[in-house]
Amino acid sequence: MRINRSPIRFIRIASLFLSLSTAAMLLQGCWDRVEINDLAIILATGIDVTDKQRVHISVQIFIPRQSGSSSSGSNGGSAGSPSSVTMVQTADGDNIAEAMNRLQRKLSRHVFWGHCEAIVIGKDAASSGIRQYLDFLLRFPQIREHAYVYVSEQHAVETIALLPPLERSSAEVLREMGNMKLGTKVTVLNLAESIDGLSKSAVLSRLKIIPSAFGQSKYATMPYVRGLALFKNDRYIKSIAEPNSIGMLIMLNQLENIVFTVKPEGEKTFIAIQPSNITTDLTPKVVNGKWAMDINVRMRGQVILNSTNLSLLDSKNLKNIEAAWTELIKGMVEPVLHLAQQELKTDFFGYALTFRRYQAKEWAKNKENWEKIYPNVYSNLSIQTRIFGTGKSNDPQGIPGQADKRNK
Amino acid sequence: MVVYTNLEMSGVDVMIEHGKISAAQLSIIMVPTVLATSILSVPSITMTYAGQDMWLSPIWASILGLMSMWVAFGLSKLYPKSTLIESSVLILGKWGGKLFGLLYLLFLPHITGVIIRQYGEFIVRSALPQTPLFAIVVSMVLVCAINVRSGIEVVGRTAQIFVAIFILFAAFLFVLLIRDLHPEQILPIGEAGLLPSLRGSVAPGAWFTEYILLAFLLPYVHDRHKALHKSLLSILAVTLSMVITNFVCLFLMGDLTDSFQYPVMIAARYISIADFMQHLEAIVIAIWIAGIFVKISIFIYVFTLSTAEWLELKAYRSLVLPLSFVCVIFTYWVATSQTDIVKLYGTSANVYTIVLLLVMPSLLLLTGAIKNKWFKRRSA
Repeated sequence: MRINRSPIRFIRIASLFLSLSTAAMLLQGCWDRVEINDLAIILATGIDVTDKQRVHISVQIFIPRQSGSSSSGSNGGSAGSPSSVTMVQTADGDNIAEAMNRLQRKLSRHVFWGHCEAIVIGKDAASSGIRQYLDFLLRFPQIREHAYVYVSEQHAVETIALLPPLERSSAEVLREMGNMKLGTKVTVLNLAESIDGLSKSAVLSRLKIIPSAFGQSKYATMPYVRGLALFKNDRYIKSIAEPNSIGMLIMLNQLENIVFTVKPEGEKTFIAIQPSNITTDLTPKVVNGKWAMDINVRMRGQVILNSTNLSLLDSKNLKNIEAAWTELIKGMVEPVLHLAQQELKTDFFGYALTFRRYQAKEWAKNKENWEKIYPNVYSNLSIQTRIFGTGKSNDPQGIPGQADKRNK
Repeated sequence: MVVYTNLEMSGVDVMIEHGKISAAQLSIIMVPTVLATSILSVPSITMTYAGQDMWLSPIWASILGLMSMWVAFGLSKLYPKSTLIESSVLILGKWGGKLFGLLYLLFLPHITGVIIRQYGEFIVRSALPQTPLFAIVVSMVLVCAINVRSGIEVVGRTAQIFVAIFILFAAFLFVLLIRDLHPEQILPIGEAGLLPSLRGSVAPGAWFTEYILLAFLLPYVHDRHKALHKSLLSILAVTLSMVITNFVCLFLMGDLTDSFQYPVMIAARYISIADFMQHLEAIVIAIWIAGIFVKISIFIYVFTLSTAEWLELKAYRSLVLPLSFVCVIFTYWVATSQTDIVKLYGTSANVYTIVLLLVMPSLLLLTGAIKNKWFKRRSA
């Protein structure tokens, strides 16, 4: 490279360099400069209520490890036990803001909420109403609207305190589970939308804790999604488990990661199908003042287990299996429809919104009476199932003497 | 075109600004001038009035922009070498014109103050809560003042560079959100007729009237014949950006949009792609600052130039710093808190800006046109 010795050029470059480095000195964030090692980074928050209806929050705080520099870089695998990555701190208050402030006073570092990816609400706290928490979560500037919200069967603090062997923290477990759509995938923003919206309800994933393995600490385990928690207005009213939760997820168009076990007619054993594509369409109709909702469920899947003697090459057999599959889904969805419309009288599936969108005129005329109309909306369920693959095999495997059938 | 030299001569015959910008630069300057502050507040305000028809409001609002533009071009056709301040003297005579100009000398620092205040409040709210407003405001105004002192050419160039970045990043952010958008939120269209969306268009309409700034800048465009075409494109770009912004907010937040102060900021914070494309709000703030920088610059520029013209000075440069300081003072005078600013944008500020940026110049144009006809008939 040719070096340009022209003095003017040199002065220009030097002054550019100087001005850039001066700028760098000024770009530290003014009065808001906070060193990273003055921060207590919160990964997950749990909300409970105490016996006296006080708010009890528990936070999972990331502990930055020292090992990076000191212990010659070998911190993989056995070196760091998971227990050293996070810690839990709790605080009480008359409301969540006060509890948060008390929490700050217990910590030597500035609480930072920007990385809080999961919010767990204890069942008790949820049943006394989550309005105040929602307002706080959407008002306090640092909290992310994308954080996933869960309801836990136990106190939220028990979930927050777990130190999972598989992931770095239980917050990470909850975040990944949200991404994998094991239950409903609901962020703070979604939750507010669905409670503020016409449906005035919400469906959240319900958390339980896997019992820890024999001989392990009781905290060395993970939370997992089991069933759903139903909210009417801003209150938790009921939780449902399989098969109702599956039916609910089908209606919400959120079902993924599932295997259906189907027993075809006239068979004693079963066939397992893994659906790859589940869609549910709602089409509202108002005919002669009668309100109806056409629910169209479509599923495509492939067989992953066949313990019957049925050959899957025979289209008659496939039809038979598909019919049984349809019946199974029907048996899952219908009770949920009944539960929502007649028992709980809560619009979990967004009927109101669908009517407003696609039957705008009727809706405008009748929206005042929606509470009365809703339980009587006729839900017309139609299900289409299709098997598009049979896995690696065609014929049933493992039947003694099967290979001999050609000689018969 | 007939030019009445006797009228032109009675005003200022020497241009204070010697620089020239191109028609393209002019139209580019106007994009952040309208968008920078409106992009923050407009989704929330239009949602309040228009509900899910909020995306229609900017389209109605753009009519006000076209009207302002038409007035600006009309005035510039009458007196191609004069800005609004100068042509008011030519049209209304010395006393009337000076009085008219004085109105703008009082209005411009006020609106500049509002703009700077909104910038400051936004930064305090979303990025630097501990930093005093004064530090944020003064550092920005200082940079803008330097920009303005360097003349219209530099302002035009910085606008060109920053607007490119502004548009590119904004588009990028919206693309990242696609996954979380629900287009069915648009339904039902026109649930309560057109009225809600028309009511929602008042606020963005007030922003669109800022196109009257063309009347201050047109004398410095060297390729005037392209100006009309480019300005129309500029209005189109602004309208489209507002519509897209409203769409993104609506599709993401639905009816919740109007419960947030800055819905676009919520949208940016919501981005979460592949576990690592997160926390992008800092990028939004950074590119937004580029936009607001152009906006504040152009308002300070117009204010300074107008003052110099009104006082019939030979140069405006020495006025830049003191007048910028005046704007900073106005920043503190216009409002006492964030809620004041929000209230201002939602209500009275709209009428105020529409009157001063559209109605008054229209009246001026009308008077000018009548006077022109009358002169023509007399000389015929």
